[in-house]
This record gives sequence, C-alpha cells and structure tokens, in this order.
Amino acid sequence: MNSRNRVQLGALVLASVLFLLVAVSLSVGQVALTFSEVVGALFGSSGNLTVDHIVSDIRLPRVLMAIVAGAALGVGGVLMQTLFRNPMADAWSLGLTAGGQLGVAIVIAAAGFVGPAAIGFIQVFDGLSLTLAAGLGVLLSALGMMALSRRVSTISLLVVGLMLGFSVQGLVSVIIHFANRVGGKVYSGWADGTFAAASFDSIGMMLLPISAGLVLAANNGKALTSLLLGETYARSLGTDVARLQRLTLLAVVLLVAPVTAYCGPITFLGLIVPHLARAISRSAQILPLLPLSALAGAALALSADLIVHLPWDAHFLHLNAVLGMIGAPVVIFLLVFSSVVRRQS
Amino acid sequence: MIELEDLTVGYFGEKGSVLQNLNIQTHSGLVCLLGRNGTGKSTLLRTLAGLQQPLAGQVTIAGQNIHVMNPVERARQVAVVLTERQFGLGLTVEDAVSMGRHPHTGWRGQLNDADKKHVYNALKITQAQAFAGRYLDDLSDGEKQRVMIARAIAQNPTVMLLDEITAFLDLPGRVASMLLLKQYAAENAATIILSSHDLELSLQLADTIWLLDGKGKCRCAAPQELLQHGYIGDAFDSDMIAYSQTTGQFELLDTAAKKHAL
Repeated sequence: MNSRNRVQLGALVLASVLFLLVAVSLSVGQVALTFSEVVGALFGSSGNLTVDHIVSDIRLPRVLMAIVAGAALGVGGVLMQTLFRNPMADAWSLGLTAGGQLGVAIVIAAAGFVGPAAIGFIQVFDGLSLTLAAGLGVLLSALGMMALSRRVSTISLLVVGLMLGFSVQGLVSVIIHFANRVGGKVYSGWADGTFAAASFDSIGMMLLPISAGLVLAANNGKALTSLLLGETYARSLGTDVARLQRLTLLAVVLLVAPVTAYCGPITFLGLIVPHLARAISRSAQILPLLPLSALAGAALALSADLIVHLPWDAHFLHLNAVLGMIGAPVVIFLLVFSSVVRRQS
Repeated sequence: MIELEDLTVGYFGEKGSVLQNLNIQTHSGLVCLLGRNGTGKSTLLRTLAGLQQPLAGQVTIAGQNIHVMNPVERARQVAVVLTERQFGLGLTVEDAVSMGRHPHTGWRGQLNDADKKHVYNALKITQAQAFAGRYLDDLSDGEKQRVMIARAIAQNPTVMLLDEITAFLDLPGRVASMLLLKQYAAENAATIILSSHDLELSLQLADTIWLLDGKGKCRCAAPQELLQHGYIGDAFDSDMIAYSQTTGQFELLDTAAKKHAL
C-alpha cells in the first residue's frame, strides 16, 4: 500500500474511532445515559431537562474542548518536532506550556494587586487577556529554546524544558500565594490540565487562533518537509529557512497558547501523537501528517478524558495522570531504541 | 555553463577572503575540484550554490547571476550534495528523493507523472531502488550518500555541486558514483563540480580540473594539461612528498623517510 492510501485509510479509521469516542463520552459518566437519550438531547430535547442539561451543558462542551485541544496539540507537536529536529519536542516537554502558565499567573496576580474590579474584568475578558498572556509566555519560552537548541543536544534540551516546567510550577505557587485569594481561585481550577472547565464561549474563543495556526501549518507543510534534511539542504531547495522558522513558531504559539490558557498544562500529548501519525503514513512528509495528527490528537485527548470521567467511586483521577501512563513509556522507548535520539545525545 | 567573474570568496570579518579574483568558464562535464585541506574547496562550493554571498564578483549560470536569483528559481538550476548525514525522524528514502522535485512542484509538493518519472529514474541511475521504502536512518553512510545523489539528480539541475561525497565510499563505490555523475553531465549537458581528495581517480575521470593552489588562486584546465605542466606537484607537494611526473604518483621524499627512521 502506498503512503497516500495509508494516509487516507488511517484518517478514515481515526475519524471513525473519534466518532465512537464522542458517542461513548456523551453517554458514559456518573449518570449513565442511553444512546437514544443522548441523541434526543443533542437534537432538540430528550423530554428530560436533567438529561438535556448533562448532555448539552456538561458533557458536550467537554468533549468538544478535548477534540479542539487534542487536535491543536497534535499538530503543534508535529511542528515542534520538525522545527527542532527533535523527536521528543512538544509544547510541554520543551517548556512552552510552562511559559504560558507563568504568563497567565502573572496577569492574575497583577490584577489581584490592582483590585477586585480587575479580577471581575479578567473573568469577563478572560478569553482575551489570559490567551494573550499565555501567548506571550509561550512565545518567549519558544524563542529561548530556539536559541538554546543551537548549543545543546536533543536530550539536554528536553531536560532543560522539563526543569523549566518545574521551576515555573514553583514560581506560579509563589505568585498565587501573594496574589489575591480570588485570583488564586481563578487560577486553581487551571493549574492541572483538564477539559472539563470548558464552555461554548471558551471553545469559540479558541477556534480563531487555532484555525489560523492550522492554516499556517498547512501552508508551510512543503517547506517544513525540506527542513527534515537540515537547514543547508532546505535552503538549497529554495526554502527561506529564517522565514519558515518564524512562521512555524507563530503557528505553534497560535495552536498552543489558547489550549494552555483554557485547559492548563496538557502533558505528553503533542509528543506522542506525531509518532503515531508517522507510523500510520510510514513517511515523514509533513502535509499528510497534519490531518492525521489532528485526528489522532483529538482521539487521544478524548480517550484520556473518557478514562478520567468513567463512573469511578471517588473522583481523584487526573487527565495528566492518564496521559503520563501512556506518554512516559513512549519517551523511554524513544530514548532507548530511537537511532536518531541515541546518535544526537 | 557556469561562469565565475572576478569572484572573491570567503568571509566578512577577521577570516577574510579565501580565494581571490577567480575568472573561470566551464562548460558541461565532470569537474573535479582539487586542493589541500583549508584551501577553500567547501567555501567555493557554498558560494557557487548561492548558500553564501561572495565578497566580490559574481557567479552566473546561463547568464543569470545566481546570488540575485529567486531561491526557488535557483533551486531549479543548482543542486547540492553535502556531507551532512543526520536527517529528521521517519524520513524514508522515497521522501528524500521526492524532495528533489520541490522546486518544480506547487505549494503542496504534489508530484505529477513527470515528477514521479524523475524520481524513479534518479533511484534507478543511482541503484537506490533496492532501499526505496526504507528509512534513511537505517541506511549505511554510503547508501545515504547514494540517496542524496539520487535526490540531486531528481532535482534535474544544470549545475550540481558535490562536497567530498566519495569520502564514505570504497574504491568501486567511488568509481561508480563518479561515472554515473559523468554520464548525467553528458546526457543533460550539465556541469557537475565535485570536490575530492581522490587525486588519481579525479585525474582519470574528470573532463576538467579546478586546482586550488593554496595561495588563493584556482587553475582550470584539462587533467593532461595540468600534469604536463607539473601544476599538480605545485599544489600538493610538501617537505614529505612530491608528485612524480614519470610514475604519476606521489613519492615519499628521502627527508621524510629519514625523519621517520629517527
């Protein structure tokens, strides 16, 4: 089977899995619903207000958020791994998410000092101000990592990224400690990654930057493929490497910042998904990897979220715990078996 | 045809110029760029490829200055093969060779039938078909080099620049690579410039030699002419070895032998 057929078939299978996951996610939870109840609630009314509320107001936004965020992080992972030529790069592992978190914490703390009115302001405009703060944080850490990637090896860069995550976590706790209590409350629901805080408004706010990021990624797909041969070969094929790096970085920020602002730090997802997509297409050409990664990212995010929201007796399972159980072994596998990683270390 | 007019190559700042005021015209054929380490072979090739700005003068291909050309337009004319051996994850041989068509395809990089034919031919000429479906990472250095030559051939350039590509190959491999490049040059009226340390093979196979003398000059002539005038010896002789016109080989000097005995 050639690569093109593999991509088409893979996309079809992933889309079917995703559809199935949506159906299951809408029915399964603390309250078990039948499929007909879910369909009824989605299209008009099921005749039961509680069921309508559970499906349309609680589960549907969460499911949509998982799809949007998963797709954005999956595509972001492909871009990061290509840009850094590093199979373990993603927004979280290289500390971009940490930068975004810090940006948001600083905005909340600053608002706390200015006064309660500002907190109200943030809550009203949380979309814009928090996304911008996250975007700035993501951009700054991305620029820092780009500069650093010219000096240190693949694995050192990964360690630096993870350490950045730890230090920011500490720093954020300190900032929130001194900030207004209300601010802390705004932040606390966000310090751990989750799709459950979603609303239709927030999803709407995310769609514009994420769509722009996807278009930008697709537009530069061909040039990004040439970057896989290294900068000199890419230039010899007519690619403007400096411009490509700027545009790709911009696309990463557009994809990752909204997710960081609304869902908090989502670990491992962007790191695993590109490998899954490459395994399906058996090729590294970027353009076909983008839809595959978007679908695989959405499916993985939704599966993890489904596990979190199964009707457990006690509700202590976190999204990142589930993603960590899948993601950490993948990283270990890459460290031990990937020739690319071993050679560069 | 590639033409160097008053070309000075090197670096801005302290390192300065490496080669000065080169005036060379070379028509199609296999050109071997010879010279000792540090004489500026790679710098010259990078400049000819448009990857580095010249300090002065210009390089033209078919009358067009390559340093003011649109980069995609230039990529349709000039292909390079470098010593780089680290590539991105998951890149297959087919991916890599297909990239040779990038300058000729639309924004999606979609290959039409003609493009596919170029890719197929390039794989066939370089005998890289056997590993077309494999990952680049899994190949040996020599096999990778063949794939990168196939990629350059798929680019269908009028000028191809290759930097020390024979270093990873054994003798039969070197001869095979140089012969296939010579053949490509003849069939496509292309100029192929190959930097090499392989003096004997270059003198036997090249149509033209560009000889860097280590004093910032480049002598351009047919191999026989260089040999007759003793230019090879001028460029490569040291206090240890000297080129012998009679045997066509380098001979160890007595002084070197003595030093060694001590």
